[in-house]
Amino acid sequence: MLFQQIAFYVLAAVAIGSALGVIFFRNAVYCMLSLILNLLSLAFFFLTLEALFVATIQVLIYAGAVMVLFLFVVTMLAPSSNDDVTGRDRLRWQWGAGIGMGVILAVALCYAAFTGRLAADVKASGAASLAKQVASAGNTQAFGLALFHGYSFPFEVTGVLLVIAVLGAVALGRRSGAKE
Amino acid sequence: MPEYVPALILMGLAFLFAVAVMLATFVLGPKRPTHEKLAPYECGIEEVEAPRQRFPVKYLVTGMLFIIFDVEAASVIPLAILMRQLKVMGLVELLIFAFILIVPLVYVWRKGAFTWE
Amino acid sequence: MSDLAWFLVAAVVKSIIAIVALLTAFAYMTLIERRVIARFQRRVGPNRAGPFGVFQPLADAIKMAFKEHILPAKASSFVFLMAPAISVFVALTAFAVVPLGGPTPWGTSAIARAWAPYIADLNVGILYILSISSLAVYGIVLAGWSSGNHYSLLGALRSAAQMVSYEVSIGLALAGVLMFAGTLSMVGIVEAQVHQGIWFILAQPLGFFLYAIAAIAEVNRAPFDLPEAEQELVAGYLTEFSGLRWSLFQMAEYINMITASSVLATLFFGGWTLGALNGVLGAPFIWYFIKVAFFLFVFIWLRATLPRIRYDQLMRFGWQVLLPLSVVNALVTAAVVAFGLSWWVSGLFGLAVLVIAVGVYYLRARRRTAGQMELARLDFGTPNATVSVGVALPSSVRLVSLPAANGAVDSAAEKGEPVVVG
Repeated sequence: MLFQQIAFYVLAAVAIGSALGVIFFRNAVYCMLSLILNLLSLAFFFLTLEALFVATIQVLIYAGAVMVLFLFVVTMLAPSSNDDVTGRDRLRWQWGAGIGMGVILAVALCYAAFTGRLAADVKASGAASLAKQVASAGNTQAFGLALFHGYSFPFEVTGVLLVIAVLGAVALGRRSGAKE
Repeated sequence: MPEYVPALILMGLAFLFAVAVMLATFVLGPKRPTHEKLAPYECGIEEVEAPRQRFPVKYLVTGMLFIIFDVEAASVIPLAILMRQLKVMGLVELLIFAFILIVPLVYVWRKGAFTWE
Repeated sequence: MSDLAWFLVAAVVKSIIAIVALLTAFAYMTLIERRVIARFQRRVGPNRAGPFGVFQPLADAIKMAFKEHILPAKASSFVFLMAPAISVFVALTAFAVVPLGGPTPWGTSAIARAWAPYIADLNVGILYILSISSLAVYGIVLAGWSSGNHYSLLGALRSAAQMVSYEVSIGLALAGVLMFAGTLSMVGIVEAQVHQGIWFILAQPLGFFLYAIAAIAEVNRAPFDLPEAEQELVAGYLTEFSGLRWSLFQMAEYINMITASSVLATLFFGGWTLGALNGVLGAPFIWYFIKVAFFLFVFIWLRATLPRIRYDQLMRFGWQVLLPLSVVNALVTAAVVAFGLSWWVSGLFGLAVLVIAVGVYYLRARRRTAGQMELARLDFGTPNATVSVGVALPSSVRLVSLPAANGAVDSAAEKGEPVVVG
């Protein structure tokens, strides 16, 4: 369908452009704004795939997550230099690591897509029956059934992961508090 | 036609409206800026220091706790609408998940993360 | 025309109607709020522009449009201009799934369904409202940050922490209703209430109050209006905004109020339905409007009655009262639904928790008052005015509120004699 193709290319342009913005803006709040734009464009990708529930959750969770980035900027970053992310020199070694990881990820994705592995995996994981469920019971219901019937153990393990995150948050707050 | 298209149309119109009003603010109204008028509001005195200084890290901790519990709430909602179907099994899953998250809530509470001076 | 074309035309027309209606409702809400607050304070309120002041919103709009739109020198101009637009965009967009009536008030053909009185009946319904309104915080935060002003930034920071703290409870407080409804679709939730023969307020009294409180905090209304607390922060994030840019924030606040009221009416009070009177043509809209108008009045009422709460109280209340109660409510409701018990079990439980909560609050408030009286006796006791309980108080203390007692204490204080009231 032509409309979907146009939507895809427009969204792809927005997503890549905003992702570059996240990296190249010098003002941390502008980085944050690009990140929101990027995450919203991903939500629209999910919409074009008719995954309404995932799109909504994407907005709900990441809107909050990016808010935390804002709080990070105002509580942690040096104020005098107008929120510029300074100290690029010290972080130069990360460029190599970042580019290396990016290349590995891109190669892996291209390999999976062009050899048909991705499509095979999707088929093996029962995408066809999932599509049937979505059509009969609705988006959220299908998602919930998959999560709580088929994958309830990973779901609970995710809960444990969140506990660890809580401990991290409290530890971070305490250590910074002790310094002051 | 997907069911969400009308919502996208409302989104588009709301966007046009917001942009139109913001553009109108450049056209309407007098333009007589003075130095004092454009200075940041400071109860009439000169500004002593720029506002962008560091704030207590407590705000950040609150934000991080929020993400964690927001993920919990977002996971509970699909479980909630299936509760009638899943019956006791759904209840057990919810209980386990809730227990896993009540423990850190109590922990954070005891550590005083919710107490602001 | 094909069905698809009709579908699109209907969507565009309904969207325009929704935007115009929301703007009109906002304009008149400001007038009604000022009149009602005035009544609460034994004033008259704006009544000069037209009969009962009905043209006041128009006059305000014209005045706002022709004010000077100041762009502060220290502001980050792009973000500063974007912030009000984000606020109002988010507020308008969130309204898309609110149903003013059922899917078939005009008939069951495809074209008639395209004109159903809501913009979209999404499968994710209420979750759509939650996720869109979770973006609302960005309008406020970016406004405060970009203003380059101490008060604005502090307002933004408060707003960020406040809104995220209460957002957690919103999702969990609604989980109970969703368990009973078995769907997220707004239309589906109303139909579930018709089908089960109850309004969900009966099954979820606790969930209702938890959501209502959290929603007031989400839309930054009194007593949770700390981001714009005028006594401490001048006007918080609004300080540097003028003219139409300022009114866009007001618009967003009122539209968010309308959406929150609609959610309360739809999820807990049967939306557009009212028992046997459903069939009457036009009735659905009327019931919807009455219910929403009632909740909007409650918003105003609360603003007129309650003092703003302190920031530490706000954060503690959100995390230590609302969140645990929401979790308990969700768990108990889950048990009721999973075991197939009747709705009144969770209803009674909710009522019991509410009664206990109010009782605990009352006892603690009493103990605190008693403690303060004790303190007053120890620290500020003066021989001038002694009340019958044996507590000496400065004559301005409000405990002695009877006019006669006041007079007696005052006159006695002047003479320097002890006085016995009672």
